[in-house]
Amino acid sequence: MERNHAMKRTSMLVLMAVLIVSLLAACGGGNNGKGGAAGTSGSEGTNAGADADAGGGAEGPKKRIALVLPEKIGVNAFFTQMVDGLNQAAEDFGVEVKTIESTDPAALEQNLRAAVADGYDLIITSSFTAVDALTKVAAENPDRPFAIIDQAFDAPNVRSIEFREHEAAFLLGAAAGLVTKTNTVGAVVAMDIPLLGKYTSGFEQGLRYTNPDANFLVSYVGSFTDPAKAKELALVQYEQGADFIAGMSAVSDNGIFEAAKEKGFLTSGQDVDRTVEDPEHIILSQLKETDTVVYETVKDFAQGRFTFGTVHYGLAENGVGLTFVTAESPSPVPGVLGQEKIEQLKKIRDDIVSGVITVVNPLEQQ
Amino acid sequence: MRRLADSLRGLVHPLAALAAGLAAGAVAVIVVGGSVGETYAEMWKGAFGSFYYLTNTLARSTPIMLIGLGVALAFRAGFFNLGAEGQLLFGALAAAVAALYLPAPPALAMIAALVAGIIAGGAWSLLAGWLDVRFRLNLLVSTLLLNYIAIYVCSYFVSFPLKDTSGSAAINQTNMIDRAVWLPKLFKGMSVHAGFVLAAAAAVLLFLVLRHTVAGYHLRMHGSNPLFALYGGVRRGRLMAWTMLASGGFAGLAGAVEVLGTQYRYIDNALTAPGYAWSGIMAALLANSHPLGTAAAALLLAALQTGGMGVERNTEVPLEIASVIQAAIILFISARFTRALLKRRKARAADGTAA
Repeated sequence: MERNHAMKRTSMLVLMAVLIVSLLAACGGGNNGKGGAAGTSGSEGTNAGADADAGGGAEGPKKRIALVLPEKIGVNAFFTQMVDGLNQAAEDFGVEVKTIESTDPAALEQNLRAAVADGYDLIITSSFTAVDALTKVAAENPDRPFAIIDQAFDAPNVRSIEFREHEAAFLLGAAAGLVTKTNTVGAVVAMDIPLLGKYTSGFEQGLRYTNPDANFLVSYVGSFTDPAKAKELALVQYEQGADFIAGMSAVSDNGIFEAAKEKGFLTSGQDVDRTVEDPEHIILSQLKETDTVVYETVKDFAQGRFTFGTVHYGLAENGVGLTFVTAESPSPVPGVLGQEKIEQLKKIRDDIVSGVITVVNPLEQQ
Repeated sequence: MRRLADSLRGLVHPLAALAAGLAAGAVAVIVVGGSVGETYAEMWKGAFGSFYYLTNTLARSTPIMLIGLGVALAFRAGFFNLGAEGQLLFGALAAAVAALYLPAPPALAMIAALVAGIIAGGAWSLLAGWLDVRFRLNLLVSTLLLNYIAIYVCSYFVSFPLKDTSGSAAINQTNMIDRAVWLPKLFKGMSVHAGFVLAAAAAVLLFLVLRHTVAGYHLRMHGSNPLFALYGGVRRGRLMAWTMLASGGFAGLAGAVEVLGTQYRYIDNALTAPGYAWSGIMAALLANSHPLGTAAAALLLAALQTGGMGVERNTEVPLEIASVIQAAIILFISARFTRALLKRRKARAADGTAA
C-alpha cells in the first residue's frame, strides 16, 4: 500500500513537471491553438506560464471538476464539444474531470446535489434547462463554486458564461449578403423569443452591412425539434425568392438542409461545423465553441484565476465564429463564396473585434 | 406461522429474479468493458449508499408510488386504467395554476393546490370511465388515447397562455411558484419532500380501505368476478365512476406533489421524460396490485433509477447500460409474477376457488 502511494505521488510530480514544461512550450510557440487564443481577461501570453507554475505546481491533490449536463449527450455536438474541451483541459492542467449526463430536470437537480455531496471543487453545468436546478443548489451551497455555460445567471457563487452570438450572426448575415443573387435572404428560426433575437438581429445587421437593399425573410418554427415544419417554412421562403436560407432552429435545421438539397438553394448551420454534411448546399456554419469555453473555464480554475460574475465570449475570444472565416473546416471552400469574399469577411471580423463595427445586442437594447 | 412461511417463500422468487437480472446486467457491463463489481457497488451507493442518496431515492419514488397506488386501485376493481400519464399532467398543471394564481394565504394555497391536483387528475380519469359507461368505449383504449390529448393540451397551456416569459423564455414552463407555497422538504438540502409522507400514508390507507371496508370489498369482488359482483348487487357504473375518480386522483396528486415539492413550476416534458406514469403502472403490475407491495415496488424502481445515476456519475459505464441493467432486473422480476399468476389461474381452473 505504502509503496503504491509513494509511486502515485512520484508519478504525479512527474506529470506536473511535464505539464508545466508543455505549457511553457505552448506559450513560447505562440497562441496558435483554438484554446490558447481565447482569454477571459487581461492576463495573456507570458503571464500564463507563471500562472501555471503557481496554480498547477503547488497543489498536492488534484482538483476535481464535474461537468453536469442537463440531458444525454447523444449526437448533440453542442455537448460533445464540451466534453472534448473538458478532457483536453484535464490533460493540460492536471485536474480530475468527470462528465455526468442527466435524463430529465429532476435527475439534473439530483446530479448537481450529488456532485456537491461528492465534493467536486468546481461544478459546471450548461444551458437554460439547468437554471431552476442551479438556482436551488447554488443557493443552498453558497460556499461552493459553480459555472453555467451559455446562460445568464446571477448568483455570488456562480460564473455565468455567455456567448456574443450576435457577432457571429453578423458575420453570417454579411456572408449571406455577399452570396445572394436574388437579393432575398431567409432565416428559419426555432422560436420567437428574445434569446434568439441575438441571431436574427445580428444576422440582419450583417446583411444590411454588405447588402443594404436585400430582402430579409424570417420564419419561426415554434420548436427546437421539428425538422418537418422547418422544411416547409424553408420551402415557402424559397418560393418567395430566397436563395440563401440560414438555419437557426437547432435540430429542426435538418429539415432546412433537406429542402436545400431538393431545391438547390444555399443554407447554413449552427453551433458546429455542419458544412461537412453537404458542402454543396450548407456553405457556412455559425460556430459556438463550447469546447474552448469549457477549456478556458477549467484553465482559470486550475490556475487560481477563477472569478464569479459573467464572462462573455465573442469573436475576439474565439468563443463564436464562422466556418472558413474564423476557423478551419475540412470541407472545401464553397465556390459561391470564394477566397476573395472570405478575405472580405475576415476584414469584417477584425473590424468587429477592434470596434470599428459595432454589433448591437438586441437583449441589451431595451 | 404458516403465513410467515408463506411470505418467506414468497421472497425466494423475487430474490432469485433480482439475482438473474443482475447477472444479465453484468453481461452488459462486461460487453462495454466495465467492472461488474464496481458498477454494482456504485449502483447500490447511488441508491442507498448514504442518507443523502437514500433521500434521493425516496424523492424519486414519490410520484411513482402515488401513481402506482392509483393504478393498483383500478386494477383491483378490474378496470384497466392506463391513463396515469394524462392524469398526472393535468394534476400537475392544475396544482401549478392553483398555487400561482389563487389569492389565499400560503398554507391554504398549498392545500388548495394539492386538492386541485387530485380533482383535475380524477376528473380526467372519470371522463374515461364515463365514456365507458355511457358509450361502451373500451377503457383501455380511451385512457391510453386520452394521454395524448392531455400531453398536448398541457403543452399548449405552458407554451402560450401560462408561459413564463421572464428570463430567456426558451423553456415552456409556468412562472415559479412562491416559496411559501412549496411543499416542505423533510430534511434540509435533501430532495425528499412532504409528498413522500403523503404517498406512504396513502399506501397504508388504501391497504386498509381495500381490506376492511364495504366499498373495498365491492371493488375487489368486481375485480375478481364482475358477473358475480353484479349479481350480488354491485352497480357497475357507480363503482367505475368512484374507482376511476380515485385512481386518477392518485395520479393527479402525484403531479401536484412533484410540482409543489420538486420543480416548483410546471415544466413541459418534465413529468413525461422520466416516465413516472409508466414506472407507476409497472410498480402496480410487479406487486400484483397489492397497495403495500406497490409502494415497495415503487421504491425498488426508484432505487434502480437513482442507482443508475450513481453508476453514470462514478464509473465509465454509460447511462444507457444502467438502463439496460434496470430493464433486465424488471424483466426477471415481472417474469416471476407472470409465472405465479399463470399458476394461480391454472389452480383456479382446477378446483374453482379464487385466490
